Amino acid sequence: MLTLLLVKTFRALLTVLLCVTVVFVVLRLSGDPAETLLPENTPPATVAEYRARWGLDAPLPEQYLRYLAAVAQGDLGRSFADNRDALGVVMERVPATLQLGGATFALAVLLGVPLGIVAALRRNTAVDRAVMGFAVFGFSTPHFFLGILMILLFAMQLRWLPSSGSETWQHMVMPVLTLGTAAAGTLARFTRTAMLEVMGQPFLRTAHGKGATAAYALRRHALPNAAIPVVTVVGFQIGGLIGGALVTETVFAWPGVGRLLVSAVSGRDLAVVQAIVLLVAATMVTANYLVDLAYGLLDPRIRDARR
Amino acid sequence: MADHLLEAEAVGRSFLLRRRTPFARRRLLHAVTGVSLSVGVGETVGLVGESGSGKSTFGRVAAGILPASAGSVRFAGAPLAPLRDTAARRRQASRLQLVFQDTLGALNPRLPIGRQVREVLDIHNLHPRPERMDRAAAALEEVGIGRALLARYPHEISGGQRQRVVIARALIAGPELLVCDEPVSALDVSVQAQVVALLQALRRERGLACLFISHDLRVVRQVCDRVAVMYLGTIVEQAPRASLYATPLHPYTQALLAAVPVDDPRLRRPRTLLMGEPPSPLDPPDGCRFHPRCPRAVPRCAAEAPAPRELAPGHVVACHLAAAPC
Amino acid sequence: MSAATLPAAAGRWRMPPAIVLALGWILLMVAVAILADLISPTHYATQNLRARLQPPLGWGGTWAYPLGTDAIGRDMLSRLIYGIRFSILIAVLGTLIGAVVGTILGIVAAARRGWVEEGIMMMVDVQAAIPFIILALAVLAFFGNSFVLFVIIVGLDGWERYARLARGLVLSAQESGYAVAIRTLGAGPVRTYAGHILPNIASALVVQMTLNFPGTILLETSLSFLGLGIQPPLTSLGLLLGSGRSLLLNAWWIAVLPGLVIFLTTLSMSLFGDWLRDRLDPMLAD
Repeated sequence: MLTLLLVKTFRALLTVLLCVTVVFVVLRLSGDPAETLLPENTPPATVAEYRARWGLDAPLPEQYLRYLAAVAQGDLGRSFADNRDALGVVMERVPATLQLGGATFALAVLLGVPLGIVAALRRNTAVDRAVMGFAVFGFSTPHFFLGILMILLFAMQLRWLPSSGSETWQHMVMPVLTLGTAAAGTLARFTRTAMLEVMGQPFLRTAHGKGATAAYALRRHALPNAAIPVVTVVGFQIGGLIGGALVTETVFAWPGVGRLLVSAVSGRDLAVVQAIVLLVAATMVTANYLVDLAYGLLDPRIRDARR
Repeated sequence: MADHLLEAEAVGRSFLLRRRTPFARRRLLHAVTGVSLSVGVGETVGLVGESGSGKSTFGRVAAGILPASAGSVRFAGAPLAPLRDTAARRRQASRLQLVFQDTLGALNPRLPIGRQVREVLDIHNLHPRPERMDRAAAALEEVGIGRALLARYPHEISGGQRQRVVIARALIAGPELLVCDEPVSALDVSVQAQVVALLQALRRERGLACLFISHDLRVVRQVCDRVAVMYLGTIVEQAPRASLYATPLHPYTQALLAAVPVDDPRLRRPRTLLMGEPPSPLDPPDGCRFHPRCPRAVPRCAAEAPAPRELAPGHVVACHLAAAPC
Repeated sequence: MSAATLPAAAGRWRMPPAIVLALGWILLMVAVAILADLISPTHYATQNLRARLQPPLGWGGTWAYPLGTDAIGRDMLSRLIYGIRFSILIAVLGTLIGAVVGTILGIVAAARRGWVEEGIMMMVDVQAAIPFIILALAVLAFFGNSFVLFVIIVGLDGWERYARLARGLVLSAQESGYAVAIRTLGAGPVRTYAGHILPNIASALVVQMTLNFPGTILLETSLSFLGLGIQPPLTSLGLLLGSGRSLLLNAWWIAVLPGLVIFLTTLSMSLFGDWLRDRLDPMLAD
């Protein structure tokens, strides 16, 4: 078990290292980093200082090592927009995105998982078909389209909700619904499949045979086993949420990291772009790693097999 | 003495097995150990053994598709072409070919059989292009597959027909040596007879040399000039056909032959029983590998592996107790 | 396994009504993309400042502009038609690029094994760990947004899926007899992989292409919507939708119509791709 943990940790760190290396390569390929990552009107002394710190005039391997050191310390250049430390600019926006992400995640799980269970229990009935229909529409609808439709309906026609900004909780409703519907749909689908697989297995019938009621069997046996693929899907969804956040935050003018990335790309504020890419990579690898661990913990077969 | 077409000397082949846990040592499976065998021009040599004896593995090494872990194989006086050297392998392929047991697997499921035979001509650039399909058809006719079947797919013809296609494909470039790995084992007995007859005819017509690998002693007897018997990765006995079948000298060979039903119930044959089960190639016994099952084993057999001795002309045996036939 | 064919008499190929509709829509989109020049009333950039912000038919519009006009009087129907053409063109080109690159890498990984394979697979893992749109944005930011680069980037979305799939398929194909047999007959690696193994794994790769296609369209439209993809004077569905966003209150059709087309197209492609996968390759089904 310990070796498994170590191997997984090693792979995660290696992946992060690889991401950083790719960014390094892209950075070097696209021009002189001192120009790319610093605003135009930076005083020459500061520029020289950066050059020295990043070793830009040193041979490539040394540059690489210095880059790694810089990244580890959070020195990722300065934002053009307001000449502040790029990483700091990004980190300011993280809470807003986390807020959105957390609420979306909660919605997806609270909506998707029960729907999936219901669909599995009422398999092949109208309920099942309705839930699956909702799921298909959910994950097929592009976020921008859904968002725009919601704005049209709720903000403009009905005037229930504001269409942009982030001051009150009402501002959160539509973005969360937009992002959450797709995630809920996918989760519902996978939960249903997982439940169906588990429900068909002999050990459940044995439990029934021993006199367990349906609810008990569900709780003790079916749900934990169904949790495994669901956890895997949750891991995938995190990536989807990050991607979806880009568009959704733009549509609803939500002041998160996604919107920052879009404006940084249009403004070619490359230090910020770099910071966001690295941050996202680290987050994703960590998320996958935790999901992987949870997976290993949940499934005793995996746990014991590697002993 | 004429130069042998194929000369294998002290060939060994081992496989590293997958680790069961990340820190365990990887175990070695010794499929073939110290096998020396040669095939002369136009000669058919049989290689017999149970499953797990390593005969198929040796066949693949001899045909050059598996590198030897130890020892050497020479074909027409030169070492076998390395796997990565495409040009050398192509040249070698026109002289040394392999016929497989799994005919359905050996043929591309998506191509008609005519095209698959023709492709060999494309690979070796033999004959002008417009003629090739015709030549392929002729090659198939030679093995008894009519032109009507040229457009059929492998799964649309019978096992016996597939085996003929595989043979035709192997022979169309005109090789001098054919390694046949259990070519008839997957076929019905009646079909076996037909394919065996075909192989014999082709041998005669083309002067083809052949390494015939099989577990079936009766088939081997029909086709081969010399026979070698393998047990657990080593050759225990090698002799001209008549000599082996009439006077087998190794206890294992004797047991194998005793198990083969013969036509004449009145013939008396020595009763030789094989004891126990075939051990695993992962952990071969010390000394003579056969000693745990040998009805005549003595303490020396457990301690010392017997060296091959020539006890009669061309008849080589690896056994401490074997004596020349009187 | 025979290649995919349109529904024949065989019961296996009978399509449920939803799939028929999906396929119908896809074919309609392809037809529109190809015949754009013939069926479009005007060029997509033709302006008519006296006919700005006309609503579509049924909401007070006229036959002159059946789907309304935008802020500078450009006919929405024409813009939609050409938007479909550009979006589909980019998605198809992109998918082909991604499929080719991914498949080649997968084949090389399976053929070479060893360090090459480890390296490629690590890149696959890295790619799978990061949402592609982030990478795409980063590359576009750093290297500027040229049309060619954009198509390549859009195409590379999902390359890792082809690579993983191709590698797996080639590994099992290598085990199978015919690959060994053809090498024994003297064939070189090119003939073996391109001539034999590839045709046998092609159907699975085609299915993967249909599964990836919706994602590719979505990537292009998302980027164009954000203003970071296709740039004017060219047009695309995403660009149209983006341009309509600020006019949502007054001229909802400018955004909703392209959005609807995108939605229906990705939905159809998803449904069709899923159905195709279930039919052709039970092994690929989740």
